[in-house]
Amino acid sequence: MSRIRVFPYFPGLDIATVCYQCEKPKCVEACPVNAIKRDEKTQAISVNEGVCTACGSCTQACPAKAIFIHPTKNVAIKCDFCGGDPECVKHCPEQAVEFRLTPFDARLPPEQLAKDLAALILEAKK
Amino acid sequence: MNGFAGKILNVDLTSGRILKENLDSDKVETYIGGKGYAARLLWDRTPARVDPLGPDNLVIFATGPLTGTLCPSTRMCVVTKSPLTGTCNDSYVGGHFGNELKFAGYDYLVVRGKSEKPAYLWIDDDNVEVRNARWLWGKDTFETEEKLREKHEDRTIRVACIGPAGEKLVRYACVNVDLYRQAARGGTGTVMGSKHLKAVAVRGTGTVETKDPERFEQLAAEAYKAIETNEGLYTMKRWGTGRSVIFSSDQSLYPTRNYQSETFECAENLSGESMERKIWVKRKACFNCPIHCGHLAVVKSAEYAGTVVEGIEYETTALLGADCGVDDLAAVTNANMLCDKLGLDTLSTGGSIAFAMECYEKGILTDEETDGLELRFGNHKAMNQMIVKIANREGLGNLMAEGVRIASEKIGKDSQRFAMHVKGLELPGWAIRGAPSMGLAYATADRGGCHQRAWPISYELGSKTPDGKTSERYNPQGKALGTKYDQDLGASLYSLIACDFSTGAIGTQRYIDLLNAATGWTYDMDKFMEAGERIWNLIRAFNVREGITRKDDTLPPRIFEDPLPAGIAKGRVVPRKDFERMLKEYYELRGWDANTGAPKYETLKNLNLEDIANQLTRP
Repeated sequence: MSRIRVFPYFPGLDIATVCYQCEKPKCVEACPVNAIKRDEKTQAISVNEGVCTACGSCTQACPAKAIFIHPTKNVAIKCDFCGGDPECVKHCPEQAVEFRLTPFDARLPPEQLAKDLAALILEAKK
Repeated sequence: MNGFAGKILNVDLTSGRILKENLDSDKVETYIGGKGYAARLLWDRTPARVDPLGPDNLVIFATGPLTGTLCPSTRMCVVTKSPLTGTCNDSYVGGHFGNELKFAGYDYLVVRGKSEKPAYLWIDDDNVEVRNARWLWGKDTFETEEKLREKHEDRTIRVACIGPAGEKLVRYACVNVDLYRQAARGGTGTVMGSKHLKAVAVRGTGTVETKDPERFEQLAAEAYKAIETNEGLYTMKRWGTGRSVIFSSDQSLYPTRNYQSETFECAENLSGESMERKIWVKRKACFNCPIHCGHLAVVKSAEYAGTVVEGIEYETTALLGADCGVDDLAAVTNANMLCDKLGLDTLSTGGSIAFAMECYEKGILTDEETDGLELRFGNHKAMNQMIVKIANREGLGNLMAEGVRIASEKIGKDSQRFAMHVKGLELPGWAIRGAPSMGLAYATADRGGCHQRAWPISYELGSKTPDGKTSERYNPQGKALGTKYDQDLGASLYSLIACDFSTGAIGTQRYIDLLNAATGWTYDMDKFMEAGERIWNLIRAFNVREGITRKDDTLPPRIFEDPLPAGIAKGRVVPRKDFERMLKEYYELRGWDANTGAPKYETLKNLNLEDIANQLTRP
């Protein structure tokens, strides 16, 4: 299933949200069984499905709600860069999603991001 | 699997009983799915002459075999017997509700009965509950959606709901989805209101599987590419449906001042170009759609500052703009938002107010009857106030909430002459005297005055007809074929369910390939068109069963009698004899009885609808 999700945050503004691959990931800190690690090859924070117990600690910890429990497989899943070549980037017709490997620590919760964006766009709305 | 989720979800609100029924894909095959199979369900599961607002009527939320798949630009529809027209009514809506319903595991949601107390339906994959909605009753659609997201602590659930207009049984209330998208026409929301069903909230985590995933994926990628590279869609992507405003007005197709004229001198103010300059802030798309015809509009200054809505669509600019004589873009934007918020169809609302305005200007409605509202054409303040009155059924709003057919019958005084509706459904934003075959399309459309069933204007403006000929714009000869072809093809495409705007780029053949790859069926062009004809005749049979006859297949007298005052088609009417000629030709092509308008026994038999024919002719 898709690991990038569209959240309708602010009425009328739907925003695609995906894992920020934080420098100090909260999900890694929260995981009681050390199932989440940075992948050597892709540099994506990845879940070891064999170890994951689907306890949900990581989903509570993630500020971006970018890690969630798979509805049937019963493991935590998140963006893993599709092995280094993300499908969402290839598919987006508006080139709104791009893939760059830069150190980045913008751990703003998506609600805040949406609010900031909304304020920017809807400046006149009281 | 085969493109379907595999289940029909039946909910009886009277008893609270919920029944999940397996979808028999062999039975569906004859009707493709979507519109077609929903119409069959409506025929099978409602008694003849069912009261549209009674418990025996159904509200069917229908998806098609392509909805929620990788195929771009698919939609869902809401099918019910309309309280406005008394016909089978299928209203389409994009957004994300249809695919979510399918992800939850249901192709069709069939609601019957009437809940004693306000209720809403919560569908969480396998878990389906009828819940108390007293705390939501009276709330507008925006708030309802927000509250339900809060209640279920999930911002990604999808909600279809009604506003105060639906609760108060305004005959043209809509079902609101994703805040700004509506299954609007024909009173779908009214039927929900009559069942005390405030909303349906759904969370689906499944996927839709296809028979031949590799081929399907490849075809879907081609379809995507076709949309991205289609030149004709460039304007649609940039200006949405607003791209048609100036063209339409120039070609005498833009209803103005209750159809008194078909050219609006201020059309430029309402065009997509004008919206782009003044109000749009962001593009919006439905599920898996690269066309993104929607735009988030914000009015930032002056009287209507603070208005936020998605749009404005062409049809809304026509009915709430030109048809009411209003050229103030901000005012129309606000009117659009009010309609969405209160749960009204912008087209029927605009048509009803335009009718009231003409009555007022002619002295048929007095100041006393309008509660002091000066309902003159162009008075946008009065228009916006009137929308609220209609939704709450206050004062004159109570009468106009019945739609122009019933309102004109009650008002009398010759006002029926300019009551612009067909079978009770207010005419949309493509006028008739500038393109006579559009009159035939309206008169014969299955749900009354609707422009989506056939759009023969294209043939009159130069496209080749289905038999490869060119058509003379004002000559009634040979006009029936284009209308019939559009209707049949449309019925099939609406069963997939494809969006109007993607069909041109993707092309019918590719849709058929997609359908086959998804389902494992063996459709070809002939079979696909025949299925469309079958669906069209099935719905006609339903309408005949509910009391529609040949005399209902007509147009408002104004179209026959009042010459256009301006524009490229100045001085024109559609002569009654021209119209009769088109209609006669159409009946012959269809195999319908020239006197009653009912499909003949053989016609139905040849389309594999013998059981319908037997039931229809049973004394």
